[in-house]
Amino acid sequence: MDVAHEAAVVTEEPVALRFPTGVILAALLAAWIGLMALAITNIAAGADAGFRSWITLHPGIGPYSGKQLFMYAAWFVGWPVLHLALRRREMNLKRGFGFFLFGILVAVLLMWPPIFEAIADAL
Amino acid sequence: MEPSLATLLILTAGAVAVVGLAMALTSPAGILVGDTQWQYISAFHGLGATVFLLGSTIAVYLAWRLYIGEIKAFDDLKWLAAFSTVMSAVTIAFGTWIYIAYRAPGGPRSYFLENLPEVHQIFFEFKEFIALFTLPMFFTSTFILWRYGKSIVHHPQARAAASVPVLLGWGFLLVAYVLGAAITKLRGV
Repeated sequence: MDVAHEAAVVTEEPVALRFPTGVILAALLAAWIGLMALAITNIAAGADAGFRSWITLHPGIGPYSGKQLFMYAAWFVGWPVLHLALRRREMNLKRGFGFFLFGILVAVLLMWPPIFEAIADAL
Repeated sequence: MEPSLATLLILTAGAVAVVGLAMALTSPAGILVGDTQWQYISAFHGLGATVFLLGSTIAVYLAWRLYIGEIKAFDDLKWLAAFSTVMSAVTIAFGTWIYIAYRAPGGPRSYFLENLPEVHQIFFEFKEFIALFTLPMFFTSTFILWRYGKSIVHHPQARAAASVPVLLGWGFLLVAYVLGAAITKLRGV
């Protein structure tokens, strides 16, 4: 029960974090970059049969295997790069987090089949 | 009220035990698991997703407490976020594995494309991608919670950055879970 825990005293004024806010923003942006890589790879696979064949890393799984690989590669390559660039910087977390939320919305919309198929057909 | 980790573990283990006992007593195991390797993998995928859903649902509640600045069981949230991240990875791995059977000639995809093309072209395709969104969400939250520790409790923006991805990840999981269950009901592997 909650009596087992020490109650936290919360103030609404931001206080010093253990690390600069750039570390948080790097983690958020890297996750978003990974998801956008997935969305873009998926659209490219729909638009170009050669690319779809190229990213088919496993015959059973099909192009879904390459799409996942692109997502993980973009995420885990982008994260250390962003981390090194931002780790000592105090960033505007409110603005950065707002960008992250908007970016996630865009990524979700790009994954909705009627939308990504329309984009792929138009390319 | 925020339950302690021990309470959560006992409740979760109890719930799994009750469900397991009910299944053992009432379900013919052969039909439950099936007689091919794909049905075993499908069962693990579904069980993994269910355990993921249970753990992440509790995490969502604690994330909300963090978001509004009233978290007390901070360590519980850290562990549940980490647990959800692991379960997300496990469920995605089994989901990718079972995808081989889904795409195989004569598999569910062939059936849907022939009889209910929109099920594959819209719902399954969206499910397979949105399920992947859960991992970056829970992983990022877990990273922030463990890296910064309780110092984020006093920082509203950092609280939002650590808690909202848990809620988003849970929402993505819910969509994938419901669509996955519906698709399996229509045509299993």
